[in-house]
Amino acid sequence: MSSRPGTYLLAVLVAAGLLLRVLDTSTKAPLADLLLGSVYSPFFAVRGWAQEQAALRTDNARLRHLVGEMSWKAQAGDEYAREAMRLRGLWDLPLGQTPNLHIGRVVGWDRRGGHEEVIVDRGLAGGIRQYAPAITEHGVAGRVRVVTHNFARVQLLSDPGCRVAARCVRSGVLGVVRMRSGALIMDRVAVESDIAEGDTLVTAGIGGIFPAGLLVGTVTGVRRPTLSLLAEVDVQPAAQLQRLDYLFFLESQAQLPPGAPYEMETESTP
Amino acid sequence: MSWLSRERVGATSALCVVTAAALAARVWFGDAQLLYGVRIDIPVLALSLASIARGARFGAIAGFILGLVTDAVQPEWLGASAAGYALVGFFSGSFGQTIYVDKTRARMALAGASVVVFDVVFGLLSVGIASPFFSRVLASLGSAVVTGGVTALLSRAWQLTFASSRRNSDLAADA
Repeated sequence: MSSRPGTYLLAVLVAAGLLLRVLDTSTKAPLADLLLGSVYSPFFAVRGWAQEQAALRTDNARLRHLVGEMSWKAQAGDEYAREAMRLRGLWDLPLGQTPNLHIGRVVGWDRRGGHEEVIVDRGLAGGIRQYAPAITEHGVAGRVRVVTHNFARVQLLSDPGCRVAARCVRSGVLGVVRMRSGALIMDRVAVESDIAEGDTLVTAGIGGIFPAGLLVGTVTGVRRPTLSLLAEVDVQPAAQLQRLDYLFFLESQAQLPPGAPYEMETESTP
Repeated sequence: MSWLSRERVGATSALCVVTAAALAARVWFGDAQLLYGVRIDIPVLALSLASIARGARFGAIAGFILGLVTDAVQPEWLGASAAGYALVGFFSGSFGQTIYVDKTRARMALAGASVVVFDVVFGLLSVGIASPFFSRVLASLGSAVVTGGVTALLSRAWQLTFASSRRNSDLAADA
Protein backbone atom coordinates (compact mmCIF):
# COMPACT_ATOMS: atom_id res chain seq x y z
CA MET A 1 0.00 0.00 0.00
CA SER A 2 0.97 3.65 -0.22
CA SER A 3 3.06 5.56 2.23
CA ARG A 4 1.69 7.75 5.03
CA PRO A 5 2.20 11.11 3.15
CA GLY A 6 0.12 9.66 0.32
CA THR A 7 -2.66 8.84 2.79
CA TYR A 8 -2.54 12.34 4.22
CA LEU A 9 -2.76 13.74 0.73
CA LEU A 10 -5.81 11.61 0.04
CA ALA A 11 -7.42 12.75 3.28
CA VAL A 12 -6.83 16.38 2.43
CA LEU A 13 -8.24 15.97 -1.07
CA VAL A 14 -11.33 14.08 0.10
CA ALA A 15 -11.90 16.68 2.77
CA ALA A 16 -11.60 19.43 0.20
CA GLY A 17 -14.11 17.63 -1.99
CA LEU A 18 -16.55 17.26 0.89
CA LEU A 19 -16.10 20.91 1.81
CA LEU A 20 -16.86 21.94 -1.75
CA ARG A 21 -19.87 19.65 -1.76
CA VAL A 22 -21.45 21.24 1.34
CA LEU A 23 -20.85 24.79 0.19
CA ASP A 24 -23.79 26.77 -1.16
CA THR A 25 -24.34 26.51 -4.89
CA SER A 26 -24.06 30.26 -5.38
CA THR A 27 -20.65 30.13 -3.76
CA LYS A 28 -19.48 27.32 -6.06
CA ALA A 29 -20.94 28.82 -9.23
CA PRO A 30 -17.97 31.11 -10.03
CA LEU A 31 -15.55 28.17 -9.81
CA ALA A 32 -17.81 26.06 -12.01
CA ASP A 33 -18.11 28.92 -14.51
CA LEU A 34 -14.36 29.33 -14.55
CA LEU A 35 -13.85 25.63 -15.26
CA LEU A 36 -16.54 25.59 -17.92
CA GLY A 37 -15.17 28.69 -19.64
CA SER A 38 -11.54 27.61 -19.60
CA VAL A 39 -11.29 23.84 -19.67
CA TYR A 40 -14.45 22.91 -21.50
CA SER A 41 -14.40 25.63 -24.15
CA PRO A 42 -11.89 23.94 -26.51
CA PHE A 43 -13.88 20.72 -26.37
CA PHE A 44 -17.13 22.56 -26.99
CA ALA A 45 -15.47 24.35 -29.91
CA VAL A 46 -14.25 21.07 -31.39
CA ARG A 47 -17.64 19.45 -30.89
CA GLY A 48 -19.35 22.45 -32.51
CA TRP A 49 -16.94 22.29 -35.43
CA ALA A 50 -17.51 18.56 -35.85
CA GLN A 51 -21.27 18.98 -35.71
CA GLU A 52 -21.06 21.81 -38.21
CA GLN A 53 -18.94 19.67 -40.52
CA ALA A 54 -21.41 16.83 -40.27
CA ALA A 55 -24.28 19.20 -41.02
CA LEU A 56 -22.35 20.63 -43.96
CA ARG A 57 -21.67 17.16 -45.31
CA THR A 58 -25.34 16.31 -45.07
CA ASP A 59 -26.34 19.58 -46.71
CA ASN A 60 -23.70 19.11 -49.38
CA ALA A 61 -24.96 15.65 -50.25
CA ARG A 62 -28.55 16.89 -50.33
CA LEU A 63 -27.66 19.89 -52.49
CA ARG A 64 -25.59 17.75 -54.84
CA HIS A 65 -28.53 15.45 -55.27
CA LEU A 66 -30.77 18.48 -55.81
CA VAL A 67 -28.40 19.97 -58.39
CA GLY A 68 -28.35 16.70 -60.29
CA GLU A 69 -32.10 16.53 -60.21
CA MET A 70 -32.50 20.16 -61.30
CA SER A 71 -29.92 19.71 -64.05
CA TRP A 72 -31.83 16.73 -65.35
CA LYS A 73 -35.08 18.69 -65.21
CA ALA A 74 -33.46 21.63 -67.00
CA GLN A 75 -32.23 19.36 -69.76
CA ALA A 76 -35.64 17.78 -70.01
CA GLY A 77 -37.15 21.27 -70.13
CA ASP A 78 -34.82 22.24 -72.97
CA GLU A 79 -35.82 19.15 -74.85
CA TYR A 80 -39.50 19.93 -74.25
CA ALA A 81 -38.93 23.47 -75.52
CA ARG A 82 -37.26 22.16 -78.67
CA GLU A 83 -40.08 19.74 -79.20
CA ALA A 84 -42.62 22.53 -78.70
CA MET A 85 -40.79 24.62 -81.29
CA ARG A 86 -40.81 21.71 -83.69
CA LEU A 87 -44.51 21.16 -83.21
CA ARG A 88 -45.20 24.87 -83.51
CA GLY A 89 -43.31 24.92 -86.79
CA LEU A 90 -45.18 21.86 -87.89
CA TRP A 91 -48.42 23.67 -87.23
CA ASP A 92 -47.61 26.15 -89.99
CA LEU A 93 -46.72 23.51 -92.56
CA PRO A 94 -49.14 23.17 -95.48
CA LEU A 95 -50.08 19.59 -94.73
CA GLY A 96 -53.72 19.73 -95.72
CA GLN A 97 -53.18 17.24 -98.51
CA THR A 98 -51.17 14.82 -96.41
CA PRO A 99 -52.74 14.47 -93.01
CA ASN A 100 -50.81 11.32 -92.07
CA LEU A 101 -47.51 12.22 -90.47
CA HIS A 102 -44.95 9.96 -88.86
CA ILE A 103 -42.13 11.07 -86.61
CA GLY A 104 -38.74 9.44 -86.40
CA ARG A 105 -35.74 10.22 -84.27
CA VAL A 106 -32.35 10.54 -85.94
CA VAL A 107 -30.10 7.84 -84.52
CA GLY A 108 -27.21 7.86 -86.98
CA TRP A 109 -25.39 9.63 -89.77
CA ASP A 110 -23.76 8.17 -92.85
CA ARG A 111 -21.42 10.39 -94.82
CA ARG A 112 -19.39 7.67 -96.46
CA GLY A 113 -18.56 8.02 -100.15
CA GLY A 114 -19.90 11.54 -100.44
CA HIS A 115 -23.35 10.52 -99.29
CA GLU A 116 -25.35 12.60 -96.83
CA GLU A 117 -27.78 10.27 -95.15
CA VAL A 118 -29.29 9.87 -91.72
CA ILE A 119 -30.82 6.84 -90.08
CA VAL A 120 -34.05 7.16 -88.12
CA ASP A 121 -35.56 4.76 -85.64
CA ARG A 122 -38.78 4.24 -87.55
CA GLY A 123 -39.34 1.88 -90.43
CA LEU A 124 -42.11 0.00 -92.15
CA ALA A 125 -43.56 -0.88 -88.76
CA GLY A 126 -43.81 2.82 -88.00
CA GLY A 127 -45.68 3.60 -91.19
CA ILE A 128 -42.72 4.91 -93.15
CA ARG A 129 -42.48 3.92 -96.81
CA GLN A 130 -39.77 4.21 -99.40
CA TYR A 131 -39.51 7.66 -101.04
CA ALA A 132 -41.53 9.24 -98.27
CA PRO A 133 -40.68 12.97 -98.00
CA ALA A 134 -38.74 13.83 -94.87
CA ILE A 135 -39.24 17.32 -93.52
CA THR A 136 -38.46 19.38 -90.46
CA GLU A 137 -40.40 22.24 -88.99
CA HIS A 138 -38.26 24.53 -91.18
CA GLY A 139 -38.66 22.79 -94.48
CA VAL A 140 -37.70 19.89 -96.71
CA ALA A 141 -34.89 17.71 -95.38
CA GLY A 142 -34.78 14.83 -97.84
CA ARG A 143 -36.50 11.59 -98.74
CA VAL A 144 -36.48 7.99 -97.57
CA ARG A 145 -34.10 5.99 -99.72
CA VAL A 146 -34.14 2.63 -97.98
CA VAL A 147 -36.54 1.40 -95.36
CA THR A 148 -36.49 -1.74 -93.25
CA HIS A 149 -38.88 -3.01 -90.65
CA ASN A 150 -37.60 -0.80 -87.87
CA PHE A 151 -35.27 1.72 -89.46
CA ALA A 152 -35.21 4.07 -92.41
CA ARG A 153 -32.33 5.64 -94.24
CA VAL A 154 -33.04 9.18 -95.35
CA GLN A 155 -31.21 10.78 -98.23
CA LEU A 156 -30.78 14.41 -97.26
CA LEU A 157 -31.15 17.39 -99.53
CA SER A 158 -27.41 17.84 -99.26
CA ASP A 159 -26.81 14.42 -100.83
CA PRO A 160 -25.78 14.68 -104.48
CA GLY A 161 -28.34 12.03 -105.35
CA CYS A 162 -31.34 13.89 -103.97
CA ARG A 163 -33.33 16.23 -106.20
CA VAL A 164 -36.41 18.30 -105.51
CA ALA A 165 -38.63 19.98 -108.06
CA ALA A 166 -38.94 23.55 -106.80
CA ARG A 167 -40.84 26.68 -107.67
CA CYS A 168 -40.10 30.30 -106.95
CA VAL A 169 -42.90 31.69 -104.84
CA ARG A 170 -42.60 35.21 -106.27
CA SER A 171 -42.31 34.50 -109.98
CA GLY A 172 -43.33 30.87 -110.32
CA VAL A 173 -40.10 29.88 -112.05
CA LEU A 174 -39.53 26.13 -111.90
CA GLY A 175 -36.29 24.29 -111.42
CA VAL A 176 -34.61 21.37 -109.71
CA VAL A 177 -32.87 21.91 -106.39
CA ARG A 178 -29.91 19.60 -106.05
CA MET A 179 -26.42 19.38 -104.66
CA ARG A 180 -23.58 19.97 -107.08
CA SER A 181 -19.92 20.48 -106.38
CA GLY A 182 -20.55 20.84 -102.67
CA ALA A 183 -23.18 23.56 -103.00
CA LEU A 184 -26.94 23.49 -103.20
CA ILE A 185 -28.20 24.96 -106.47
CA MET A 186 -31.38 25.33 -108.44
CA ASP A 187 -30.76 23.64 -111.74
CA ARG A 188 -32.55 23.89 -115.05
CA VAL A 189 -33.43 27.53 -114.73
CA ALA A 190 -33.34 29.49 -117.97
CA VAL A 191 -30.89 32.35 -118.04
CA GLU A 192 -33.62 34.88 -118.73
CA SER A 193 -35.86 33.62 -115.92
CA ASP A 194 -37.24 36.04 -113.35
CA ILE A 195 -35.40 34.89 -110.26
CA ALA A 196 -33.33 36.96 -107.89
CA GLU A 197 -31.48 36.77 -104.60
CA GLY A 198 -33.81 36.47 -101.65
CA ASP A 199 -36.54 34.59 -103.50
CA THR A 200 -38.21 31.80 -101.59
CA LEU A 201 -38.36 28.35 -103.11
CA VAL A 202 -41.04 25.78 -102.35
CA THR A 203 -41.71 22.31 -103.65
CA ALA A 204 -43.49 22.35 -106.97
CA GLY A 205 -45.42 19.14 -106.40
CA ILE A 206 -44.60 17.78 -109.83
CA GLY A 207 -41.68 15.50 -109.09
CA GLY A 208 -43.63 12.53 -107.77
CA ILE A 209 -42.43 12.58 -104.19
CA PHE A 210 -42.88 15.97 -102.49
CA PRO A 211 -46.27 17.60 -102.26
CA ALA A 212 -46.52 21.21 -103.40
CA GLY A 213 -45.83 24.11 -101.09
CA LEU A 214 -43.16 22.77 -98.74
CA LEU A 215 -40.41 25.26 -98.07
CA VAL A 216 -37.15 24.23 -99.74
CA GLY A 217 -34.87 27.21 -99.25
CA THR A 218 -33.90 30.73 -100.22
CA VAL A 219 -32.01 32.00 -103.24
CA THR A 220 -28.70 33.40 -102.11
CA GLY A 221 -27.17 34.28 -105.48
CA VAL A 222 -27.90 34.26 -109.24
CA ARG A 223 -25.30 34.21 -111.98
CA ARG A 224 -26.17 34.45 -115.64
CA PRO A 225 -23.21 33.35 -117.84
CA THR A 226 -23.25 35.01 -121.23
CA LEU A 227 -22.52 31.85 -123.19
CA SER A 228 -24.94 29.58 -121.33
CA LEU A 229 -28.65 28.92 -121.63
CA LEU A 230 -29.04 28.20 -117.93
CA ALA A 231 -28.62 30.47 -114.92
CA GLU A 232 -26.62 29.41 -111.91
CA VAL A 233 -28.80 29.81 -108.82
CA ASP A 234 -27.37 29.27 -105.36
CA VAL A 235 -29.77 28.07 -102.68
CA GLN A 236 -29.64 28.10 -98.89
CA PRO A 237 -31.67 25.15 -97.58
CA ALA A 238 -34.45 26.02 -95.18
CA ALA A 239 -33.96 22.94 -93.03
CA GLN A 240 -30.96 22.89 -90.76
CA LEU A 241 -29.48 19.75 -92.24
CA GLN A 242 -26.53 19.61 -89.88
CA ARG A 243 -28.70 19.72 -86.76
CA LEU A 244 -31.36 17.11 -87.19
CA ASP A 245 -32.95 15.59 -84.10
CA TYR A 246 -36.27 14.45 -85.45
CA LEU A 247 -37.72 14.10 -88.89
CA PHE A 248 -41.35 14.12 -89.96
CA PHE A 249 -42.39 11.80 -92.72
CA LEU A 250 -45.31 12.45 -95.00
CA GLU A 251 -47.29 9.74 -96.70
CA SER A 252 -45.32 8.68 -99.74
CA GLN A 253 -46.61 9.81 -103.12
CA ALA A 254 -44.57 7.16 -104.90
CA GLN A 255 -47.72 5.43 -106.11
CA LEU A 256 -48.09 8.14 -108.76
CA PRO A 257 -48.06 6.94 -112.36
CA PRO A 258 -44.71 6.28 -114.02
CA GLY A 259 -43.31 9.26 -115.79
CA ALA A 260 -44.27 11.67 -113.05
CA PRO A 261 -41.81 10.51 -110.39
CA TYR A 262 -39.04 12.70 -111.59
CA GLU A 263 -37.72 13.10 -108.03
CA MET A 264 -37.37 9.31 -107.70
CA GLU A 265 -34.47 9.27 -110.10
CA THR A 266 -31.14 8.88 -108.52
CA GLU A 267 -27.76 9.94 -109.70
CA SER A 268 -24.47 8.33 -109.09
CA THR A 269 -22.35 10.08 -106.59
CA PRO A 270 -19.86 12.41 -108.28
CA MET B 1 15.98 22.60 -14.14
CA SER B 2 14.95 20.36 -11.29
CA TRP B 3 11.23 21.10 -11.41
CA LEU B 4 11.18 20.08 -15.06
CA SER B 5 12.09 16.50 -14.30
CA ARG B 6 11.14 13.61 -16.52
CA GLU B 7 8.92 12.30 -13.75
CA ARG B 8 6.92 15.52 -13.50
CA VAL B 9 6.57 15.92 -17.25
CA GLY B 10 5.30 12.35 -17.46
CA ALA B 11 2.85 12.88 -14.61
CA THR B 12 1.55 16.12 -16.09
CA SER B 13 1.15 14.50 -19.49
CA ALA B 14 -0.75 11.61 -17.97
CA LEU B 15 -2.98 14.04 -16.08
CA CYS B 16 -3.69 15.95 -19.28
CA VAL B 17 -4.54 12.74 -21.12
CA VAL B 18 -6.88 11.58 -18.37
CA THR B 19 -8.59 14.96 -18.14
CA ALA B 20 -8.89 15.27 -21.90
CA ALA B 21 -10.36 11.79 -22.17
CA ALA B 22 -12.87 12.54 -19.43
CA LEU B 23 -13.81 15.89 -20.92
CA ALA B 24 -14.15 14.50 -24.41
CA ALA B 25 -16.36 11.73 -23.10
CA ARG B 26 -18.41 14.22 -21.13
CA VAL B 27 -18.82 16.65 -24.03
CA TRP B 28 -19.50 14.08 -26.72
CA PHE B 29 -21.42 11.38 -24.94
CA GLY B 30 -22.75 13.19 -21.86
CA ASP B 31 -24.63 10.66 -19.78
CA ALA B 32 -25.06 8.26 -22.67
CA GLN B 33 -26.09 4.82 -21.43
CA LEU B 34 -25.91 1.48 -23.10
CA LEU B 35 -28.89 -0.10 -21.32
CA TYR B 36 -30.71 0.48 -18.01
CA GLY B 37 -28.10 2.91 -16.72
CA VAL B 38 -25.15 0.72 -17.70
CA ARG B 39 -22.39 2.77 -19.30
CA ILE B 40 -18.71 2.69 -20.19
CA ASP B 41 -17.18 4.91 -17.53
CA ILE B 42 -14.43 6.47 -19.59
CA PRO B 43 -13.16 8.87 -16.86
CA VAL B 44 -12.79 6.02 -14.37
CA LEU B 45 -11.19 3.85 -17.03
CA ALA B 46 -8.63 6.49 -17.95
CA LEU B 47 -7.96 7.41 -14.33
CA SER B 48 -7.55 3.79 -13.27
CA LEU B 49 -5.09 2.94 -16.01
CA ALA B 50 -3.08 6.13 -15.47
CA SER B 51 -2.99 5.61 -11.70
CA ILE B 52 -1.77 2.04 -12.08
CA ALA B 53 1.09 3.37 -14.15
CA ARG B 54 1.87 6.52 -12.13
CA GLY B 55 1.16 5.60 -8.52
CA ALA B 56 -1.19 6.51 -5.65
CA ARG B 57 -0.22 10.18 -5.16
CA PHE B 58 -0.68 10.89 -8.84
CA GLY B 59 -3.97 9.03 -8.78
CA ALA B 60 -5.31 11.06 -5.89
CA ILE B 61 -4.35 14.43 -7.37
CA ALA B 62 -5.47 13.52 -10.89
CA GLY B 63 -8.74 12.15 -9.55
CA PHE B 64 -9.43 15.32 -7.57
CA ILE B 65 -8.76 17.58 -10.58
CA LEU B 66 -10.72 15.30 -12.84
CA GLY B 67 -13.62 15.37 -10.41
CA LEU B 68 -13.62 19.16 -10.21
CA VAL B 69 -13.68 19.42 -13.99
CA THR B 70 -16.42 16.81 -14.27
CA ASP B 71 -18.57 18.50 -11.63
CA ALA B 72 -18.34 21.88 -13.35
CA VAL B 73 -21.43 21.10 -15.41
CA GLN B 74 -23.41 20.43 -12.20
CA PRO B 75 -22.30 23.14 -9.74
CA GLU B 76 -24.64 21.95 -6.97
CA TRP B 77 -22.68 18.68 -6.74
CA LEU B 78 -19.25 20.27 -7.09
CA GLY B 79 -16.89 18.31 -4.84
CA ALA B 80 -18.73 14.96 -4.94
CA SER B 81 -16.94 13.68 -8.02
CA ALA B 82 -13.71 15.23 -6.81
CA ALA B 83 -13.79 13.18 -3.63
CA GLY B 84 -14.91 10.04 -5.44
CA TYR B 85 -12.29 10.24 -8.17
CA ALA B 86 -9.58 11.07 -5.64
CA LEU B 87 -10.39 7.84 -3.77
CA VAL B 88 -10.54 5.81 -6.98
CA GLY B 89 -7.24 7.24 -8.23
CA PHE B 90 -5.52 6.68 -4.90
CA PHE B 91 -6.60 3.06 -4.50
CA SER B 92 -5.97 2.23 -8.16
CA GLY B 93 -2.46 3.58 -7.78
CA SER B 94 -1.94 1.76 -4.48
CA PHE B 95 -3.12 -1.59 -5.77
CA GLY B 96 -1.33 -1.07 -9.03
CA GLN B 97 1.96 -0.98 -7.17
CA THR B 98 1.27 -4.09 -5.10
CA ILE B 99 -0.37 -6.49 -7.55
CA TYR B 100 1.12 -7.90 -10.68
CA VAL B 101 -0.21 -5.13 -12.92
CA ASP B 102 0.83 -6.74 -16.20
CA LYS B 103 -1.99 -9.17 -15.76
CA THR B 104 -4.92 -8.17 -17.88
CA ARG B 105 -7.46 -9.69 -15.51
CA ALA B 106 -6.05 -7.70 -12.60
CA ARG B 107 -6.48 -4.45 -14.47
CA MET B 108 -9.96 -5.45 -15.53
CA ALA B 109 -10.94 -6.19 -11.95
CA LEU B 110 -9.38 -2.98 -10.70
CA ALA B 111 -11.20 -0.85 -13.27
CA GLY B 112 -14.50 -2.59 -12.48
CA ALA B 113 -14.03 -2.11 -8.76
CA SER B 114 -13.13 1.53 -9.35
CA VAL B 115 -16.42 2.08 -11.14
CA VAL B 116 -18.37 0.62 -8.25
CA VAL B 117 -16.40 2.57 -5.64
CA PHE B 118 -16.87 5.83 -7.48
CA ASP B 119 -20.59 5.27 -8.03
CA VAL B 120 -21.11 4.45 -4.37
CA VAL B 121 -19.16 7.47 -3.15
CA PHE B 122 -20.71 9.81 -5.67
CA GLY B 123 -24.18 8.46 -4.95
CA LEU B 124 -23.75 8.98 -1.23
CA LEU B 125 -22.46 12.51 -1.67
CA SER B 126 -25.05 13.56 -4.27
CA VAL B 127 -28.45 11.87 -3.88
CA GLY B 128 -27.77 10.15 -0.55
CA ILE B 129 -29.18 6.79 0.53
CA ALA B 130 -32.50 6.71 -1.26
CA SER B 131 -34.20 4.55 -3.84
CA PRO B 132 -32.25 6.14 -6.72
CA PHE B 133 -29.06 5.30 -4.87
CA PHE B 134 -29.70 1.56 -4.91
CA SER B 135 -30.77 1.54 -8.54
CA ARG B 136 -27.57 3.42 -9.32
CA VAL B 137 -25.54 0.82 -7.47
CA LEU B 138 -27.22 -1.96 -9.46
CA ALA B 139 -26.51 -0.14 -12.69
CA SER B 140 -23.01 0.44 -11.43
CA LEU B 141 -22.36 -3.30 -11.29
CA GLY B 142 -23.23 -3.54 -14.97
CA SER B 143 -21.07 -0.54 -15.75
CA ALA B 144 -18.24 -2.15 -13.82
CA VAL B 145 -18.42 -5.27 -15.96
CA VAL B 146 -18.55 -3.31 -19.20
CA THR B 147 -15.80 -0.87 -18.20
CA GLY B 148 -13.64 -3.72 -16.94
CA GLY B 149 -14.07 -5.50 -20.26
CA VAL B 150 -13.06 -2.44 -22.22
CA THR B 151 -10.09 -1.99 -19.90
CA ALA B 152 -9.03 -5.57 -20.54
CA LEU B 153 -9.23 -5.05 -24.29
CA LEU B 154 -7.21 -1.84 -24.14
CA SER B 155 -4.69 -3.37 -21.80
CA ARG B 156 -4.28 -6.42 -23.99
CA ALA B 157 -3.83 -4.27 -27.11
CA TRP B 158 -1.26 -2.16 -25.27
CA GLN B 159 0.67 -5.22 -24.17
CA LEU B 160 0.64 -6.77 -27.64
CA THR B 161 1.80 -3.55 -29.27
CA PHE B 162 4.60 -2.70 -26.90
CA ALA B 163 5.64 -6.27 -26.16
CA SER B 164 6.20 -6.89 -29.87
CA SER B 165 8.14 -3.64 -30.29
CA ARG B 166 10.23 -4.48 -27.23
CA ARG B 167 10.91 -7.95 -28.60
CA ASN B 168 12.06 -6.44 -31.89
CA SER B 169 14.36 -3.99 -30.14
CA ASP B 170 15.79 -6.85 -28.04
CA LEU B 171 16.46 -8.87 -31.15
CA ALA B 172 18.13 -5.88 -32.75
CA ALA B 173 20.28 -5.38 -29.64
CA ASP B 174 21.26 -9.06 -29.66
CA ALA B 175 22.23 -8.82 -33.30
